[in-house]
Amino acid sequence: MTTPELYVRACPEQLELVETYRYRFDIANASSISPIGQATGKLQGVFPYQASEWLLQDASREPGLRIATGRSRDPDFGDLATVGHLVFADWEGTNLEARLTPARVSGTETLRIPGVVRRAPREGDSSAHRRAAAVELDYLPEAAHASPLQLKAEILDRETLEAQEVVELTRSSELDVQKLATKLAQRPEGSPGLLLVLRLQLTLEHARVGAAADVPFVRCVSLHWPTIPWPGSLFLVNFDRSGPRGRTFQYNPESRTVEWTPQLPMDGRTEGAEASRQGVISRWSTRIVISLDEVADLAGETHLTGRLEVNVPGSLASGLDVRHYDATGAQVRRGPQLETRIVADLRLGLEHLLRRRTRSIVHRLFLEGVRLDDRRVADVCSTFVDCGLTVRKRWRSDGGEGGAVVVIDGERLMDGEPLHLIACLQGHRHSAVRTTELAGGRSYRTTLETGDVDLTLHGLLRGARDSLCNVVDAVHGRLRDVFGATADHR
Amino acid sequence: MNVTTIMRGAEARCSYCGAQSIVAVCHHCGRPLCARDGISETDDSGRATTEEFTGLELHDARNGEVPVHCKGCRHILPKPPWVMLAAFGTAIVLGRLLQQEMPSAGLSVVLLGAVGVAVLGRMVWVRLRAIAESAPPVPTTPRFATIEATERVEGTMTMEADGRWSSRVSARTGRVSVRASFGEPDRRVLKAYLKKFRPSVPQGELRFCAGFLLLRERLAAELVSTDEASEGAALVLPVSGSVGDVPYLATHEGHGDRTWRAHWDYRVLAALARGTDPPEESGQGSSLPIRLIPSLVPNSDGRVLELDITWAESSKADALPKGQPEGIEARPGDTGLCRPHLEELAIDVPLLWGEVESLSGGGLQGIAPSSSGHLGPMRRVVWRNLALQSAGTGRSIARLQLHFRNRIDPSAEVKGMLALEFSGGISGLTAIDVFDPLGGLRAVDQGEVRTRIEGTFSLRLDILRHREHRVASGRGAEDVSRVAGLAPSHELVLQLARTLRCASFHIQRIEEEPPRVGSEAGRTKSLWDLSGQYRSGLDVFPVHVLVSGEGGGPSDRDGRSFTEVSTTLRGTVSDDGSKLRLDQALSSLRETVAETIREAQKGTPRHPRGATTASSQRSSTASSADLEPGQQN
Repeated sequence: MTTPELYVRACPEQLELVETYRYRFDIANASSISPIGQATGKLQGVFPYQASEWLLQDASREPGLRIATGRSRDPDFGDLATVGHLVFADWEGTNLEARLTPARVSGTETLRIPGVVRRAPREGDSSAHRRAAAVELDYLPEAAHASPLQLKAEILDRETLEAQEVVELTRSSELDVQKLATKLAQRPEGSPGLLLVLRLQLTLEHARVGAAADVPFVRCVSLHWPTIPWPGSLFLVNFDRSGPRGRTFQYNPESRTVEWTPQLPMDGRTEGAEASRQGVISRWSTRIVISLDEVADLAGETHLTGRLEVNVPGSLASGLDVRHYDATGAQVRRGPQLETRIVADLRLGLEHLLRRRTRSIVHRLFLEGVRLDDRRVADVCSTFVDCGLTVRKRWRSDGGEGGAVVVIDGERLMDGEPLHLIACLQGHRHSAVRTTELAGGRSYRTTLETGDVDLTLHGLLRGARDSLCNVVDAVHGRLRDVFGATADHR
Repeated sequence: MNVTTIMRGAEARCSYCGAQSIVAVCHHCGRPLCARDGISETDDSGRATTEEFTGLELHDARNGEVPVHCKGCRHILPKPPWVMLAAFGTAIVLGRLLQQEMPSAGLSVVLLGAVGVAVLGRMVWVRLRAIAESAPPVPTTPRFATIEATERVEGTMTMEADGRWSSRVSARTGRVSVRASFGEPDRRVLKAYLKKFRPSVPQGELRFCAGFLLLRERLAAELVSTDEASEGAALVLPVSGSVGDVPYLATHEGHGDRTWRAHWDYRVLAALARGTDPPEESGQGSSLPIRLIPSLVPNSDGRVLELDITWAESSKADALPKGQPEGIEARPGDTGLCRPHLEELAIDVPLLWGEVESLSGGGLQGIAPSSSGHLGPMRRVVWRNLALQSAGTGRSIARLQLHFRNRIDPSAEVKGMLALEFSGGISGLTAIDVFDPLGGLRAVDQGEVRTRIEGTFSLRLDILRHREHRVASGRGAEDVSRVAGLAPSHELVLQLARTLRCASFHIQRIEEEPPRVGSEAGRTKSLWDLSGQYRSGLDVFPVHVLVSGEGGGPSDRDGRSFTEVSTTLRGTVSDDGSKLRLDQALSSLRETVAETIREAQKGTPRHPRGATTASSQRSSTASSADLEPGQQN
């Protein structure tokens, strides 16, 4: 005689599937991203034996349902009660099929918890509240050789960070010329030390469209720092400057790491065909900027090592999906929590990053006696062309307190890398009165319209520093010659 | 699929339904009860249906004379039928009077009355006996001056000579303590109790119950030597004692001390029990949740010792994440601690380091001689009672500094003790609810919960680096090159920038200031501001060059034109090697500037490797610049 199946209505306190992928990001002369070990997947569920909240107190009134108390009768938990079912879909990217209990319908797993007896709980027995049934299922997602996470690591200085922002501003569709001119006129704040800039891109295939709150986020960052005192000036810079700044890291002397748990959302959306495909999550993080003012502490170190973790709630990288049904067969609206964790072990070659770092250069010229008009702008454009640059775009704004502003965006390729050169011309008009006295006490008064121009050149190039300097010097020299002559003959 | 059962931290929940909202406890067994499962023994009019606490002057108490029972302890002590007994007694008297007129009827009434008196008398006797036998402890409601739980974590922190830092917990304990003050209402209750129950034991040996304490939230703690009836009641502490322990109650005159103290000890487990984690069985060996990290303050000539105190805070255990990433410490939030306070930091330092010139941080500070160490006589520097700024949830940091007259000997080992106090319990205990002796929730403040974390430390300073920010600048003869007969020009500035680049000084910004009127009519003052960095390997020294001068007169060769070049080089040095490199960079800067100026004065600009001259640059196209050999560092 077979024992009748026991069904219990239970509410899991926790039911989640987590896949963890680990990669080594080696950024040096021969950069590589390689998986570390086998990716792992884990289903975890916790069913507390707490009558009214988690297990239905009056289950006996429902046909086919019985009470659970959580008090086990023997170590093997002879009685198991069905508390629900999990139905998996798209498990081809995992070994889940082999891990599931054989069932009539493939891809389903019945959730059974132990310690259930076929009687009402003993009155006043509250020990059950400390007990919970833990359900675990391990599986192996197929190793994804292509990391869903891409890391851009650069060592910059503040000038160059600002210059990069200027270049990005000129690439934006709506450019406020006056705002750009103000930015160009500013000197970057802070110490002149170096910055380590990390930016992450996540591209996750087969992603389930989760809730709006399911935004991937950078959970933690740590960098190994060998010396004490550790640099206390590490901070985060959001590109738009709207995010938290000056958030300090903490030094963990036990592991000698500088650590930070930013919970930094990766909410920058990537444009392009790849990103717009259905089922693909593609996100950028804001820049994580770490000040390396005391970079000399790393003397003798060839690499900067560290770790970061990105969590993607609501999606599994293997493409697996799962639904939860209760003991009566009804779908549980709040299904299992899905999460993909990507752990990146960083190994950044300092020599490589320093050598390949992006350089910037700023020249500011004061052109006295030069009126900013179309001919002068054409002179600057001609100079750009003479120096091998292509003028991509130019903007003009005649308003504003500072007078007319013209921004010229030039570009050329140097050793396969784009060299950006942006000229900002800020014109100031003023008039001069010339009085000529003639014999006989007569005099002539002439009003001359004149002006000055503040011209700023911002150059940006990755790697070849001297090429950048030579081009900007050449433009500087030519402009000086051209406008010197113009001013002389005004 | 693996299925196991796990035990988690104890949590006060209703013994029957598991609800978290506890509104009463059973006054017999102490089981926590929710509103639905707690049984208040009242009738429809709200009056007590049991005689347990009637007649004890408890009318004015918040919950009156109504006790709370759990389902297991439920019982009712009905009132003795005094009225009926009196009625039957009266019937006997009336029967006797009636006997004179109507003997048979009167006899019947007397007999009926006698039977009734006998039966009811027996009933009264039984009920009075039951009431006397079930006499509860004297129900008192003293004023609680103190209800607090103090948890202590003790351990050590060590930093070895090679910089290895470790901490270890040696003990985790907790104590709930109360201080109660009895008053006149309690004496009235005692008098009524003696009158009602007529106890056979002396007054001093009577037990009193002042209520129950309920420890809230899920705890990673185990009470030491509790004799509670059930596991569910383990988080409920009966506040009871002997009347003889309170002289004010024990003496007939009401003289003597009114206060009474009690405490309960418990053992705090290492980890807070969370959703899936069972509490660890032992608190030994894990890390202290506070750290002390020493360092030498830059630019202090090695005379200022900085002490960073860091600690982890959190708001609620429920907000904790599950599963910490490897290599990153557990997200602060595990501790349940907030509102930090430095109770004491005492550090023993060698007298050889000289007088302590100043201490930062505030609080109460003191300096006193201490015992001798391996570096000779020591002095003890102490901070006490210092409020610490919290950074909210997460790890926070406080920084204290000691300025010594002499240099700090890096071979020294400093020892001392650090004690921090927090609100909240590291076991997860958040509050203590108070119930009256009848089991109802008492309207008094919840008990205070604090955690004191105390660690002795022993820190070797060998590993510490001292950074010195140096600035080599000024308008002194060495750093200013003044050349007469040479007017400043952009050609000169560009040439200077090129030659400096060749010497690893990357001039990143060249700014020309608007020219101003010079010292004579027709002459103009010019100023160029050049800034950048010297980089060699991982050495980064900011460099600043100012080119100024006058020119533009009748002739630049009239001898009154001049150019001045001033230089500034800054850098952080931490050892002899870096000092030497900074000095070398400074020499190189001076030499490069001087040579460039000399060349310009001669009118034969030098052609450094990797750079073009100003004239050749002007005549060349930009594509020719591509061919220049690059130098990268």
